[in-house]
Amino acid sequence: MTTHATSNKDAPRVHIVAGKGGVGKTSVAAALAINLIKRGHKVLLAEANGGDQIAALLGAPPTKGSLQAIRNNLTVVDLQPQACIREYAVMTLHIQSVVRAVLDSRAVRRLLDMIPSLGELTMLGKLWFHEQERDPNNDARPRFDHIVLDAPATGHAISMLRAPQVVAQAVPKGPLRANCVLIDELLRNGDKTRLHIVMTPEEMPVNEAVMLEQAANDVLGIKLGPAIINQSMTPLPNDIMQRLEQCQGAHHDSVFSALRKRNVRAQAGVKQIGRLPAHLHAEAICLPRIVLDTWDGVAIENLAMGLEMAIP
Amino acid sequence: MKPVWHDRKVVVMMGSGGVGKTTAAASMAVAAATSGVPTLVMTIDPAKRLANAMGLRGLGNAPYAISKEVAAAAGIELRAPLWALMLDVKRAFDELISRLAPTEERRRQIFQNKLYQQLSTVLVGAVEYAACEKLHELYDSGAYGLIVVDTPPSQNAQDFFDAPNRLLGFLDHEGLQWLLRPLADAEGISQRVLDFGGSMIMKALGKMAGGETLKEMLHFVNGFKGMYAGFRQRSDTIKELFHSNDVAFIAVCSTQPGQPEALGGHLEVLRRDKLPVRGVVINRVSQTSMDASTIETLMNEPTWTPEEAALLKTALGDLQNTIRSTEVILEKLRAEAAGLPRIELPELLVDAHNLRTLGQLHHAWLAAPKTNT
Repeated sequence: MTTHATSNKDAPRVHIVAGKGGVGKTSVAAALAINLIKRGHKVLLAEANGGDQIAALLGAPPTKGSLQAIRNNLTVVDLQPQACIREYAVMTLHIQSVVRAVLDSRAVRRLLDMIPSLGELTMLGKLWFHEQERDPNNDARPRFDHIVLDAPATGHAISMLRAPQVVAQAVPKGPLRANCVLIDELLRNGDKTRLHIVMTPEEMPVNEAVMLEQAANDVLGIKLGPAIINQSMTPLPNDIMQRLEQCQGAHHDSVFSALRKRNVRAQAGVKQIGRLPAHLHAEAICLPRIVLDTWDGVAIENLAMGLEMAIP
Repeated sequence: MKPVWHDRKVVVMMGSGGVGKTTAAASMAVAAATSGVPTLVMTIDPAKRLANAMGLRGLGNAPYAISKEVAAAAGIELRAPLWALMLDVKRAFDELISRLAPTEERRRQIFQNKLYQQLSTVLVGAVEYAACEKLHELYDSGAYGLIVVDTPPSQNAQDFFDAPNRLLGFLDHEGLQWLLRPLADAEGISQRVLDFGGSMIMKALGKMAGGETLKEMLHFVNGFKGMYAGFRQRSDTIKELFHSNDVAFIAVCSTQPGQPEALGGHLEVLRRDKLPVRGVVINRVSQTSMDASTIETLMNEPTWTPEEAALLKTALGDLQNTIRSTEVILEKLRAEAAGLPRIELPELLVDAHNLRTLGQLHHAWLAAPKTNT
């Protein structure tokens, strides 16, 4: 089923998914992308040097840094810093032989390696480039309607998103600084870009969610989209628990005990979510817990449905 | 029965993000200290997990001693001192430069360089390198019977070990000699460099980054002139330490999907680099069991309203799935860990975020580790 997507010029086009390691960023990013393509949009789903987890998750061969169309309207890529630096060189130098001479020189690679953030910067630069890119068949339309970025874990995500500012401040006026400014402008463009914080209802993920929210508002200047709370559990009401306790049964204890443990966990989760700043809490999307042995495309479809239902 | 840290001075925890490495590191440190070994646990995690785990507001670059009384109140009987340290990367790096810079003048030159100020902490490999440096300093001091190292979350163990090499790559001043030949003196950039006389590559770099930026970069690199040897030597010493009999590695994983593969990957890297693996920690091993017929009886209780029945069904279904899934994954993890001692840390009702919960976990380290037959 393909619907012709109405291009809503006001809707954000760049979605950055961030959060503590292990909360399900990659899965949520993939689910977000799936929902967007179901509505007929063309999507670029990218991870930042993440080991081609997305391709593996969706059952596709590793991208190794190159854009790969894996299904109708869905292109994936695992951004590689070295490859992005090379692409940047090609764009600024134009002549292939010069590019080769420059980048094949060990000494030069070391020099480039040394500008820290350069890798992170060029990865963002590549995303910026694709955001600007037009559809080769129709100049009036962009090549991608949406770009979803599966960011690295919290600390690394913040440093990556800060890279344009950091490099801009470290280098003198010139082409590099100008590019940094352009990229930073896209990140700060509240009409185009949204940061989605993902967490599970647990203390550390919530701690990092709070950190990310602060960073987004202070140093990064990136607008927040709805946060996503993964693996939510609804506690059973006390009333039910009490009646369970009264039930008779020889092997009842183990089940009741298991339910009680689950409830403690679920209640602790609710308490943790309660620590979120009010506005983050109010707009958060809760995705119910999904338990599977293997986490693959099926799980993502599941998650995508949950995400879809949560969006009015 | 010997604990996994016996006869080792340093134990490094490896594993992906979110598996509970910090909890494993902290609980092991508590176990070692309760068994009489003066222990320090070090974290280099930017999100300050260890501070949370130890129930502290924040840590500095110096070891913080956990008070015996505070520990006792949390149910932990320390028989030796227990310290915690969170690495301040910027400061660690600055200390390193101070130690290696040949002159005061040069030290100042480096610190004043804008590139250094902005970028030193995000230098590729800087965090890991600074951690290794700090580890070495602590090890050298001889003040600790055991140092437990919590590593930052990474997709692969590679990052941690490659880091010092990559950092050294850029500091290799000699390697960059031909590029820097135009530099007439140590102080500034000569006119020849400004002209980029004849060098196509210099011109190209200038075009990519801007002439001014290139000058800054060269100036930055020039600041490290003569220091490479010092860095190299320290890096070699660190490598030696990792391969010595004083160090062991522990792979940490949890009962989440994808973990058996991740564990396999981490063990593979450690084996390939011939690094001694002492054990595997499996986190979040739940100890619930459920009887199917009992569930049915419960569900069929006449007193439930349809809404209540639905809620109960979800909860019970969730539990059943979890138990089954955990069993499957646990089997795979145990298979991956074949031949290695296993420490299985129970799933707590709530995550370990203070000394009391670390105290609950530390017993697992003192019990006999399991091994596959």
